[in-house]
Amino acid sequence: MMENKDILVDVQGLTHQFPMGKKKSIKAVHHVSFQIRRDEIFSLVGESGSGKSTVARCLMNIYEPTEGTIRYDGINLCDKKEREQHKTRLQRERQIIFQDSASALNQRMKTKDIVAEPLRIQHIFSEKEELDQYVRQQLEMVGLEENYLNRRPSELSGGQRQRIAIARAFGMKPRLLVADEPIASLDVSIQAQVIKLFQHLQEEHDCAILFIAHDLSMVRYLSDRVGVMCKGHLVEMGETEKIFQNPLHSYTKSLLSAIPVPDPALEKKRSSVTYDAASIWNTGIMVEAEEGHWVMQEEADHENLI
Amino acid sequence: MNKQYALEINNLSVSFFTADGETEAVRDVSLSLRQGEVLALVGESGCGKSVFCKAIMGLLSKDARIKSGEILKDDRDIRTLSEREMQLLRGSGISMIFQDPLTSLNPTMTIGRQIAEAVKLHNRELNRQQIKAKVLELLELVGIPDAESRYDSYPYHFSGGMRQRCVMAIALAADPQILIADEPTTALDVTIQAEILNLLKEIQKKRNMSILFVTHDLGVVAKIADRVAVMYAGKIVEYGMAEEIFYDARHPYTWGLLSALPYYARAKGELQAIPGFPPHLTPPPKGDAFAVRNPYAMEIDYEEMPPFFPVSETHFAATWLLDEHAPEVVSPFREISKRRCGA
Amino acid sequence: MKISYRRRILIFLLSVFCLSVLVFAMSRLAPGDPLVSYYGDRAERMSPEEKDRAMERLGLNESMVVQYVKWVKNAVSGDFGMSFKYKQDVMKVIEGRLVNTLILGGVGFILTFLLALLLGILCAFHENSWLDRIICKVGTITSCIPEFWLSLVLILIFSVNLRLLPGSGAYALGQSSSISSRLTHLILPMVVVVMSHLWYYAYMIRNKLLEEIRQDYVLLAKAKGMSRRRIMYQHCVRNIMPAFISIMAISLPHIVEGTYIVEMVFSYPGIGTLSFESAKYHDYNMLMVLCLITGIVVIFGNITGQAISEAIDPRMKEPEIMEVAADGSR
Repeated sequence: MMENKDILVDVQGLTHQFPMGKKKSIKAVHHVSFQIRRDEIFSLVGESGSGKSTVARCLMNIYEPTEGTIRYDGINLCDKKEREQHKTRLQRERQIIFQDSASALNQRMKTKDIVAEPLRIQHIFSEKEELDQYVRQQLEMVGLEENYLNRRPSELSGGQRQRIAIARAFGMKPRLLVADEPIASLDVSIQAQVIKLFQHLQEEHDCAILFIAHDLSMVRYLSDRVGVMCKGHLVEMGETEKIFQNPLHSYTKSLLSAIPVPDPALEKKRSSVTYDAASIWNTGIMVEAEEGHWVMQEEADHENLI
Repeated sequence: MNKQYALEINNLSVSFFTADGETEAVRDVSLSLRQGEVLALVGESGCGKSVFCKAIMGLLSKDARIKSGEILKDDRDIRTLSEREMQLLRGSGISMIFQDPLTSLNPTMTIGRQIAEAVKLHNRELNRQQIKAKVLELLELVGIPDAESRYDSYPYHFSGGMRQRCVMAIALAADPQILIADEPTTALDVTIQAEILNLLKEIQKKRNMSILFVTHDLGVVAKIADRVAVMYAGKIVEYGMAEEIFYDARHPYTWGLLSALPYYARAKGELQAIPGFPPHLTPPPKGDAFAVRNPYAMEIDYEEMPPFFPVSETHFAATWLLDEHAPEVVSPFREISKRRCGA
Repeated sequence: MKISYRRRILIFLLSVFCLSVLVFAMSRLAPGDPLVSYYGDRAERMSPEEKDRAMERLGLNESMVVQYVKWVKNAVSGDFGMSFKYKQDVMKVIEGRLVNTLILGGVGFILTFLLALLLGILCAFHENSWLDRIICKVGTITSCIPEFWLSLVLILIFSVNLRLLPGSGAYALGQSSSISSRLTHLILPMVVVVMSHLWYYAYMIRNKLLEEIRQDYVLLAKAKGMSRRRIMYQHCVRNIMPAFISIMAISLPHIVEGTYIVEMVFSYPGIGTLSFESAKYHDYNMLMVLCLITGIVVIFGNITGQAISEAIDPRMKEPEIMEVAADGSR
C-alpha cells in the first residue's frame, strides 16, 4: 500500500478473539490490516464494541492477537522471542495514553514522580538534577506550572490529569503514541486544549500517533488518515478529508450523518442515514476505490464468522 | 405570572455545605421554560446544571440546600409543597431522565413492572389489564418493537439505547407537562444518540411538552433546542433563541465554547481553546467568574458581577462588553463561522 | 454461573463424605483413652488381657480404615453405634437434645435475622439522624460483649438477684411438655444468642441498603413520584434480598457455634453441651454423629443459600448477553 521506508507500524490480518467459556469465543477484531507512517496521526473511529481499543491494545502487546502479524519498525510484535530481544527499545518507543487517567495514574504518587518513573526505569538520566530538570521541562510543555510538581492526581481535574499522562508519554520521546480515547471524558473547552497539545507535541517530536476516538469531528480536525471500524471489521480507510467528504461504505455514511453539527439551521435540514450493522457479520475484502482510499466490499456469499 | 411559561424559576441559589465550607453550586439563576419548547441548558461539568435540575425536582442530596429563590409552576412555588404533594407532582407534572441508562433502571425488576409502577402511581383507578395496556402503549411510543414480548424482559437484556427508551417510557408514564433531560445521550453512541434525539423531539411535538435539555454538546443543542441558556460557574451567562446563540453570541464564554469546536476549525492550528480551568466555587471568585479566562476582560469584570444586557427581545447576555462604556469588540467567532459557512 | 441441582447434590454428598473421614480420623487420633469413658474407673483396674478383650468388643483394635468402613456400613443402615458414656444408642441420646437445640438455635437464628433486617431498614431509612446514630453506637457496644460474659451477667441479674427467670436447663424438673416452662427457660439464652449476633448483621444490612439507595435507579424512581418508603421496600430491600439470604445461609455456622456456647453456660441440654461432654469423655460414636450433624447443617446452609440467591436474582440465571463490548472503549 505504501512505501516501506515510511511505515512504522504494519498490521496485517489482525484477529483477536476473547474466549467465552470453553467452546465459544467472541471475535472482537476481525482481519484488520492497516499501516501507520512514521510522522502521521492515524485515527481509528467507531462505536463502542467496534474493536478499536482492542486493536490499540494488541499494538501495545497488552493483548496477544489470535491471528495476523503486527510489525513495528520491522520487529514482529507477535513473536515473543523477537519482542524480548528489543524489549527496552519497545518499552521506550511505544507509549500509551488511556481514556480514564484517574485510574491509569497511581493516585498516591506525586506528579513529578509519575513523569519521572519511566525515565528512571530506562536509566535515561544518570544525574538526579538532570532528571528533575527534564521532568520540570516536560510538565511545563503540557502547561503545568511548577506548583503542580508535588500534587497528586486526586487533587487535579480530569484535564490536568490527562496532561500528566501526556507529559509522561512524551517524556520518553516515543516514536509511536497510542492514545485510546484520550479526550472522551473531558469538557469541551478542555478537549480543545488537549487536542492542541497533541498536535503541537506531535509536530515537535515527529512521532506517529494512533488516535482512538468516537468523536468524529475531533478526528477530522486532528488526523491525517482515518480507519472506520464496525463490529470488529475495518470497513473504510483513507485520508481524512476523502473519507469525510466522500464516504463510500454505508456504515461510514450513517456514522457521519449521525454526528450532530453545531449549526442549528444546517442541523434541522439534515437527515440521518440508517445502516443495519447486522449485515457486517459477513466477510468482505478491502478494495481501493481511489488512490489511498480503501473500502470494504462485502462478498456475495455468506460466510458465518461466529 | 405569564401564561406562556410552563415553569418559571426566579433567583434560585443552591449551596452545598461540606467540611470545606459552602460551595455555591447555583448562583442566582432565573430561567423560564415556555410551554412546548425545548430549552437547552449548556455548560461544562461542575457548572451546576445538574444541581439546578435536581433542585427543581426536589431531589437534592442532604448536604445541599436551596438558599433562596422560587420555582413557580401553575402559579405555585414548588418549594412550599409538602413531600406528599411533591411526589404527586413528580412524574405527572415534571419528569426527569438521567445520563446513564445502564444504572437508571433497577436491574432485578422487569421492564414492564418498572413502567407499570410509574403508571400505577398516578392512575390509581386503573385495573391490571388497563395498566398493562398503558405500559404497552408507552413502550410503543418510545419505539420499542414487539412490546408485548419485551414486557417481561430485564434491563440486562437490552442495549444502552433500548434502556434509555425504557427510561423515557417511565418518565412519560403520567403525561408530564415538563420533562427534564439531564445529558440523556452522553453515554450513548452517536447513531443511537441521533435516534433518541429524534424520538424525544417527536414525542415533544406530539404531546406539546416542554423539555429542559441539559447537555455539554453543542451539536446536540443545535439539533434539538429552540432556546439555549449557557451556564458557567453556577450562573447563566447568556440565553436566547438557538439561532441567536449560535450565530450572534455576545458573551466571551459562549464565543470560547463555540470556537473550541473542531467543526469550526477547518485547517490545522485553527482550533481555539479557552485557556485555564473553571474556577472553584468554595467560595466563588469576585466579579465575573469567567474574567480570569477571558481575553477581553476589563477591570470592572474583576470587581462587579455583570447584569444581563438585552441584545434582542429574546436574547440576553451577562457581560460588561455590552455596556455602553465598553470598547467595541467584534466576536472572534463570527469570522470563524463565516468562513465555515462559506466553505 | 448456574449449577444444576444434580451437581449441587453431588457436591453436598462429597463434602459430607470428606467431613466424615476428617472427623473420624481426628477423633481417633486425639489423645485420651476411650475405655475410661466406657468403663469409668474400672478401666484403670483392668488387666492387659481384659483391656484387649474390651477393645475388641468395642471394635477399637482394628486399623482405622477398617473401623471407618465398618462405621459407614452401620451408619447407612441407621446404626451409629453406642454412646460410650450413656451406654445407649447414640441417636436415642441425641434425639431429645436435638429438639432443644433446634428450638434455641432455629428460633434464635430466625429472630436474629428478622430483627437485623428491621433494624437495618430503620437505620438506613433514617440515615444519619439521631435515631440512626444512637442505634449504631449501642449496637456496636453490644456486639463487642462476649457471649459467656453477657450470659453470666444476665443470670446474675435475672435469676440470682431478681429471681424472675430460670438460669439453667430447658424446663423445670418433670415439666418437659409444659410450654410455659420451656418458654421461660428459653428467654435468657435466646436474648444472648440474638444480642451477640444482631448488630453484626443489622449493620451489614444497613450498609447494603445505603449502597443501594445511592444507585441511580433510586433517583429515577423518585423522579417518577414514588415515596421514599415505597422505594425502600419495593426496590432497595428487594434488591438486597439475594445478598441477605446468602449472608443468612453462610452465617448459619456462626450462629450454631454461638448457640453451643450459650447452651453450655446455661447448662441447656442441647447438642452443644452434648458435644462438649462427648469430647471430654472420648465418646467417639457420639462425637462423630454430632460433628456430622453440625457439618451437614453448615454445608446444607451454604449450598441452599447459593441456590436461593440464584433463584431470586434473575441476573444469576443466565449469563449476561455479552456484546462485543469487551473492547473496553466504554
